[in-house]
Amino acid sequence: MIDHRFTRLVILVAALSLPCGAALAGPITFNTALPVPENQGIIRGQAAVVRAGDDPSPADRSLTAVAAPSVLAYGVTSRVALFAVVPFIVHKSLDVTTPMGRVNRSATGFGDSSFFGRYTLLQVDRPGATFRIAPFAGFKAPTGEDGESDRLGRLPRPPQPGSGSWDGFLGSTLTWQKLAWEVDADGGYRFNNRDEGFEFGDAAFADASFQYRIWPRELGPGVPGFLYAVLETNVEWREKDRAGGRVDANSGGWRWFVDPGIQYVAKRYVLEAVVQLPAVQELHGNALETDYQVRAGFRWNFWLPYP
Amino acid sequence: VLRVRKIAFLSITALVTLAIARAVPAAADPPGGKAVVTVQGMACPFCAYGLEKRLKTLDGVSDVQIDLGKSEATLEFREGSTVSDEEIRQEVRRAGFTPGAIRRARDQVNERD
Repeated sequence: MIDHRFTRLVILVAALSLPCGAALAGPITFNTALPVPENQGIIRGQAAVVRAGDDPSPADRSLTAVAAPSVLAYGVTSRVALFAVVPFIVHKSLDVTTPMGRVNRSATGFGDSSFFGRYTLLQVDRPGATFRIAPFAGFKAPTGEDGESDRLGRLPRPPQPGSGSWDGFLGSTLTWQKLAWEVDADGGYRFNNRDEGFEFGDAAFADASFQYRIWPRELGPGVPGFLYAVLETNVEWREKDRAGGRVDANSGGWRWFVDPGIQYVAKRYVLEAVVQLPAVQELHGNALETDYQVRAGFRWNFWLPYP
Repeated sequence: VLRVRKIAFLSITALVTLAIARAVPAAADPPGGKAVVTVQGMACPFCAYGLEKRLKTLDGVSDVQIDLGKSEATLEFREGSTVSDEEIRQEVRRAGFTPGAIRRARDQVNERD
């Protein structure tokens, strides 16, 4: 039973890591179609905290997860970019009330890494403005640790930092950027596979972001830093998980987040923070609902020493 | 019949003119000095840095200044530099943007994409 409850924990932790696909200036919680210049690299680091509780069941579950996904982006050509996402699970902890009393089970370590490519299919440029559409596709490799244990023994499969399965995802992202504002949107699908009898449900997702430059109000000469007010939104539908050939009735469903945030974009770095607040959570059974997610991070633009 | 011949003559003349124009190499740009290139599609500081670094890879470029509000990049050349307009345009493209007009030191528009 606890095994199934842990499923929701991993869904939340996965939600922490994959959206960190974007490494350019742009939205904070998902990918962008802005370019990675040829033979240039961008590093992105992020710290994310998820808090979930309000469990109506006697188990009175309470979840805290802190993750630090890192992203490396590399421009193969001006239209083709490769991304690697390595989520380091700093800590994830689940408290559950059992007949033996309150039990805490936690894990720490690297999560599964994701690798994907993005191709700029459409690019319409004007002075001080760009409109781009860029499909992306990739996979998640089971690089995370999946043999963690605590004082109660080996942790069940779901709370392990790694899922153990090879999973694929694809989608497309759109960016319309002007000097004063930027609009981004994406949509996609994640295909999750089975490993040792357990399979997370597939997921479809859609995101949108609006960024408005609040400082400087008037552009001076050169390249001033931009301070953006950010409002993003994320919708995800996930089908039910399967364990041992049976469908878990307490998994999957809809989640919709609204995310106010702020972002400072300079020439060589970006600083950003966002709070993801649940607007609607239509989850199946007694799946654990998210209270909030907080993300804060940086991006650093670096240059490889050869042309 | 005369009308057909006239159209054929004009078409052939246009094709030959186009072929000659493409075959003749562009005149060499003057060495040294500055060049200002209009960059389309650049709308944030983080993107501007990528362009700056790409333009600095050009042999003979001593400095690059970006003006985001004007959508322009100004290149300063070392003495004896022979960087061509096409090389500048190529680096703008490699940065992920679309090159526009290029003005050399005497504010003369050399070429427009």
